Amino acid sequence: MAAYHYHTVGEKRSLKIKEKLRERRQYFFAIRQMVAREVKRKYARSYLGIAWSVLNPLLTMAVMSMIFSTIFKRSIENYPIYYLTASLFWQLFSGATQSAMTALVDNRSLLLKVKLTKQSFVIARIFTALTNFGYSCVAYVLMLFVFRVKLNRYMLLFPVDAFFMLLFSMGIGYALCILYVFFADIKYLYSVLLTLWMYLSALFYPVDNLSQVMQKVVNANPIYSYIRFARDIMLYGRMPEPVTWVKIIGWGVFSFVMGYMIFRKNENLVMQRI
Amino acid sequence: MKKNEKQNARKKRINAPPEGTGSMEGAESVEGTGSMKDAESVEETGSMKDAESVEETGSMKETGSMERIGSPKETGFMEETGFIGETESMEDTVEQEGLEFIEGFGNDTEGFGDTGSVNDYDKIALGYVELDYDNYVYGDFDYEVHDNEDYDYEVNEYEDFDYDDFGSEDLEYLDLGGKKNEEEGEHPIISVRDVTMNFKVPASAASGIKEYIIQKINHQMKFRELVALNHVSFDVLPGEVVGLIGTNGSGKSTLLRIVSGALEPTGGEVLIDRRKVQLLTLGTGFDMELSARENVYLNGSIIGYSKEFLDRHYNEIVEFAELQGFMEERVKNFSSGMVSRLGFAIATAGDAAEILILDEVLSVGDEFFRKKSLKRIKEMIHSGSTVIMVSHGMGTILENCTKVVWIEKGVLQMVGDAKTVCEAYRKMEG
Repeated sequence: MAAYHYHTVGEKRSLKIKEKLRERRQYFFAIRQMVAREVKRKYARSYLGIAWSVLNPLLTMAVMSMIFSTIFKRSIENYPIYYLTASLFWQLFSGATQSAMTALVDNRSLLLKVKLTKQSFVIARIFTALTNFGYSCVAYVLMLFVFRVKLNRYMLLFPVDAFFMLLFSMGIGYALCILYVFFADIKYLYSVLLTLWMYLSALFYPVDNLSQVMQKVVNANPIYSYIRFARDIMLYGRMPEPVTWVKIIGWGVFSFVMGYMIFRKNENLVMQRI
Repeated sequence: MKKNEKQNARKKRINAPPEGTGSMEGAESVEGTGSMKDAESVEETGSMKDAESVEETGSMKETGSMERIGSPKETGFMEETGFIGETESMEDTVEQEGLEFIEGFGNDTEGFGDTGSVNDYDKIALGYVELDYDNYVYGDFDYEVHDNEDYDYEVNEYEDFDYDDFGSEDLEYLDLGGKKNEEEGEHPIISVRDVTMNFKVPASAASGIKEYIIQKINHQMKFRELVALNHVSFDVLPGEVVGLIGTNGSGKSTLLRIVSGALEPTGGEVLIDRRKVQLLTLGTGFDMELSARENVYLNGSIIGYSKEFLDRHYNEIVEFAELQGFMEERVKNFSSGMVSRLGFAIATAGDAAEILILDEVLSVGDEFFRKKSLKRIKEMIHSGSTVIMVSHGMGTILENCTKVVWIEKGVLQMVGDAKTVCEAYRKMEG
């Protein structure tokens, strides 16, 4: 598969930094355009348009709060924020992986015709999810004020948590989009898996109520680590435990590296099958 | 001075260790992907290929008007692009018209049958032919000695020749041929070398996990090997306008995709500066839900334009597509003609790149717009770009191309000037 080997050597030698920068800029321009397209497209036919990105998490939060806050009244303080914090991260993960999964297949005609690298289509999907996450954060900040959550300095760690969550999602997304080319079934299988995964992520219930075994399962869940981290800094105003730190960084990096390797290894195989 | 350089380059190239040869890499990649492929199919391909390459040689000889499949490689180019020392498949044949032509021998990758023998240098024979032509003209031939002796090597064309004796003087000797070549100083800007593309198509359409697992357990994963391109080699010189012809499904589009870098070949290589390539295809990445203006930026960015470029050329694009006043409309409300006009305008905006690849772009819109687009394409072609185009319109090919490459079922049939090749193609079609 090193058919262009000579060329890349020559390329490296002759490519000036300036030109490389220009290429980079073009690359990000293309990704930005694709992200913008996905975002615009999502609400293309609605009146409220982009506002739905903010409204959606708020409305879900309202519903969840109505149903569950009475049940968990005693064990969870400030239930709406408890839920919203977790759901924000869950949405980032599930949105990113689900849309990344179909990135290659959806763009199959483009893949063969355009010089753009294959992974840029996956990256565009992931960044779309990140953009949606950004909009949801607007709603989140609003709610933080409404429910009078006290500001604390640990809140500054929020982007760190989001970054590693993104890294984790990217890795899974890379692997899934390759898999999806070979087995279309994965789409349905994954949506079932996501439902299970969501229930194991303690989005809307307190972990302490669970049995010992289930607590272990939930604690082993990578996504729960990210959620826990976020709740620690946002809701409880405390530094997350070192274990949580290790988990979010470890899982993020591990997933990303594995996913990326799977992607690079099978990239060309995919081109033959697509 | 230049001659010296060239000689050195040749020496370097020929003396370079064969481990790194392009064809060898091809072989490796074949091996790499071959994990799922059963040995039988490999063998099959191998033998098929052999037969074909023999045929190929035969047909080439008949036609006589063949021009330079392997063309003179020159040092300057090699050095600039950093090919030196990395070697290439040793099949550049310095030759001129009228020279008896032996191609196809060197065309084989060491790949399929015996990968182990790649390093055996003594298996590679180098020879030259001396013909009474004008002055001395030499061609060097190199080919693999295969285990099966089915080849008709036409031994009488070779002077007696000794492997061990083959040294530096011979190299100088060979180079004289290049000096006389009228196209001195022209290096191929695109060099397609021994490109093979196999697609693995599952014999049964199992894309489900259940089927996959069942087949995996029963060891029934059967793949049909689809040979889209079979050891295709040709060169394109700067400024040439090359047309690709062949019946449907003959591998033209696959070849274009490999040349443009979207697809990597299973074997062989394409030497090309990919940064200079501009691939013109229509309507790639249009989003029907977005407005025409948004699509200009989306499509433009995917094709490879920068934001500044699109800002600068926006009005030009709108004007050319004749869509003034429609730009804020959603594209889904456009007629198909409008969409393809917009696509064409975006694709051809600005100056032509050094290497243009046109994939069936010349059948757009109504009669009036078609004329306009043809004019635009012609402008681009004549601005000095090197062009590779696929078109089903024989007229377009005859009118614009200086060279035509004819591929049939993945096998290179003929390379030559437009008239000769098109005539032969028509004859074949009946």
